[in-house]
Amino acid sequence: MATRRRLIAAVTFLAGLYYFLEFIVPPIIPWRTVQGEVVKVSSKAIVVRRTDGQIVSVPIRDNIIAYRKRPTGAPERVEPKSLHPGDQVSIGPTTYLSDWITDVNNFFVVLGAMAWGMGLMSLWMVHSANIRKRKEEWYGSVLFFVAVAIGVVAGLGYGAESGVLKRLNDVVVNDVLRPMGSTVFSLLAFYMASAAYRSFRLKSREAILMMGSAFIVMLGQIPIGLWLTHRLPEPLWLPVMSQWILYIANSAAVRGMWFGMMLGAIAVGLRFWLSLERGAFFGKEL
Amino acid sequence: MEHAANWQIWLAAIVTLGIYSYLWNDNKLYRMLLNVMIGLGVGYSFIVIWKNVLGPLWWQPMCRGFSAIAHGFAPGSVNALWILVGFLGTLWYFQFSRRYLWLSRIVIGMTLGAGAGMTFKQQFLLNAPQITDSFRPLVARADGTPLLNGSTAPVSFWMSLNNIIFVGTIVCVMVYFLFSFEHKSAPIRGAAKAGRWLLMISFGAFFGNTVMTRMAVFLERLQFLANDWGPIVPYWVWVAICAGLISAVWLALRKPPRKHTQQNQL
Amino acid sequence: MNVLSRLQDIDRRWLYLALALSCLVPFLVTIRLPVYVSPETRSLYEAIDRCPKDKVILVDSAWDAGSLGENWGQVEVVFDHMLRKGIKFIVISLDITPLGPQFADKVISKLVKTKYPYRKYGVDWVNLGFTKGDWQAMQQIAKDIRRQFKRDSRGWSLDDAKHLPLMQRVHNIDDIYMIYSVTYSPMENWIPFVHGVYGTPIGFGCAGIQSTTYYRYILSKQLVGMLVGVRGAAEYDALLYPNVRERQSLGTQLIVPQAFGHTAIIVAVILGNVGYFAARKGERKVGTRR
Repeated sequence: MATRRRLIAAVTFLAGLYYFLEFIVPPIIPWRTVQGEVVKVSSKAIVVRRTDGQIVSVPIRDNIIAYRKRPTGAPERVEPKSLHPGDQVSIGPTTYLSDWITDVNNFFVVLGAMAWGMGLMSLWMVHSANIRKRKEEWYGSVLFFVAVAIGVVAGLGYGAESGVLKRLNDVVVNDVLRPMGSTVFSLLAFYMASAAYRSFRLKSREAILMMGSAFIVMLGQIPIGLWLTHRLPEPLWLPVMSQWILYIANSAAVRGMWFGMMLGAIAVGLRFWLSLERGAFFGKEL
Repeated sequence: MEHAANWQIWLAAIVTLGIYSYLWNDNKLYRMLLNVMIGLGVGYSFIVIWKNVLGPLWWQPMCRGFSAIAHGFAPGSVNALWILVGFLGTLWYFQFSRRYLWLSRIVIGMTLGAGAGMTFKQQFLLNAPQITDSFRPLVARADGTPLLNGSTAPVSFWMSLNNIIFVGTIVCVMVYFLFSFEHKSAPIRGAAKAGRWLLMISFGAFFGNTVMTRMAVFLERLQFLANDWGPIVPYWVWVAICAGLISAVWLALRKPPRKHTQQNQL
Repeated sequence: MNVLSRLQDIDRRWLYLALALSCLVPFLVTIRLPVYVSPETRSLYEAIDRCPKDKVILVDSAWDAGSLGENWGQVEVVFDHMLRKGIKFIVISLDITPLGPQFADKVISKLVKTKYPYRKYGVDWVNLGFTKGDWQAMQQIAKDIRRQFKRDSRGWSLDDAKHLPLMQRVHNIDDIYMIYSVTYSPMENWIPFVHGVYGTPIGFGCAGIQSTTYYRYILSKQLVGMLVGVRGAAEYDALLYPNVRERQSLGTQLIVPQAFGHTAIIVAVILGNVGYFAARKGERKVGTRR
């Protein structure tokens, strides 16, 4: 079991190590980086005037990369031969970390996408057990499997230009999935209205402040707010007050919360990366 | 919204009203429709993920790699290594095995590790400009620059007041959330209390926006029922719906019959 | 218990009925109300309006049925703006939902059919379809779009000059003027991984509930602008069409019913509190009698 834990900790560390190094380590080997203004570009070398005035010739080889400074100040990777005299550049041998990022990214994208079938498998196991044991409303599970089959067939029409499958795809997406999904989410509007009616009580000064802010924002977001207050001076218009709450009060409070969450995210990230996390899942027997 | 045949509009309306039947009470029709929705969604997404991600990014490069190997290790043969990702991807499914559960932890660990490694870059790039922007001049000129910056713009009272409130709110909210030490001293307690009050304003704004979002989803459905489905509904269906609503209202308003208990009889 | 105190115990189904009926009224009776254009909407409009002719706008339209009420209007008004002005754009759908490209296609085809029949797919816009990868995909798209997308949503290769002439001049972030991400909760990773590195302006179209966390990015100029919920779409429509009778977007259609819905909820909260305080007053009176 200890071997398994070590293996898992090792792959976790290695997976994170690449991205950590890609962020920390410069793309060009630091002690061999030449920074300055391009003086001359030829097929064999780039001549750069360094910030201390020294002229340096950097031969163009396969492992040489160049970063040109954009007008925004951010660096942009370019081919050394596409540099022009006057460009502010950092040039030198690559550390290869950034070169691999596309392939490493694709690796994790594909790996993550392969987990997609787990949802289907979980549901399959639950619903097939319902049918096997003839639990209450087991016919709902039969409907589930029929719907999966129809969904798979409809998915074959995804991206098609015409044909029966495209028609089925359009019907399934536009006339069944889309209305159903929207309607399920729209039930929240009613629950929220009911919850606001039952629980939003002015029991304290904080509650009064919160309700006042909520009413100003709610009325400021809709035309009625402007209609009610447009005869007042502009700073007292409900939309303007609502904007002030959102831009100043709310933004500042959210920033305060996010700075704390940033520290927490870095701390938790470190714990996951170094496999220091403990808890119900991480402490399980392997 | 977009032009569709009547039967398609009826299909969409039936599933919409079937799900809205839950607002009256939980019922079998609602549960059946949920099963259908989940089944359709899962089946459909399965194929689309293959067509959009796994196919072009994994299967096709892998096949090209094997094809290159078959042609005498032509350039591109290294793509055949993608098959290893296929083996790794199958490790996810050991989540369903009690004996070999630990194998799934390998890919979970890899995904978590990659995410954690990215957290540093992500959090830094996301929040560094936020930190620098939070240092605002408490006495500001109309162009947003500090008082002693050499600018000739006049001092702006409202901008200065906004900046004071802004910076003060950030500090007070951060003090409120600092639970690492006890809030003993008066300035810390005061700042934490002010932070709580300012958070109430923020939560009110959150609530206001939440209402807007939830209402928008419902309104889109209502618009469909009113503008797309309403005009094609025959009169007798409207009569039946109104009769149903009136019956429901009458049932709700009707007082329940008085129970004859021994106490009542006495 | 007095009459007022019963106001806090109304059956929830009456509340649902009242909410539904109050929202239904504007669909049956035309009511026009003035729209106040917020600063974040105006700055997004101006940013899109400034797009150079040789660049494209990348629209990440990653929403589906769950947020259709808000996001449909937000993409509709921006697509309307771009099609009207001849601004070329590319539609993608990153993570979140595989249905994103189809919904975007629906919005565009409706606009093309009704207003811009001279705009052609492949020349004025391209839909590259759905992809996964979060920040990895964003980096890929910025470095070389063809490493993330091999074909468009209709199956044509990106190098097919006959069907996709627009894509022949779009290769990486240098060819993209701006990114407009529309979904329930746009991915913040666009900001550090694209704007932070390349300086590309980013705009968001988001649900109202998520917008409160994005205002801080507008203040720090990491976001160039934002459309917030239904009102964002209605405001953008007001900028596109100063004459209220010409506005047809979903945002404009829903903003007045939204107003009625908000009012209904405010009334419900007030009634609940009136009932609560009346009941408390009654309890106190009973307490003193005892």
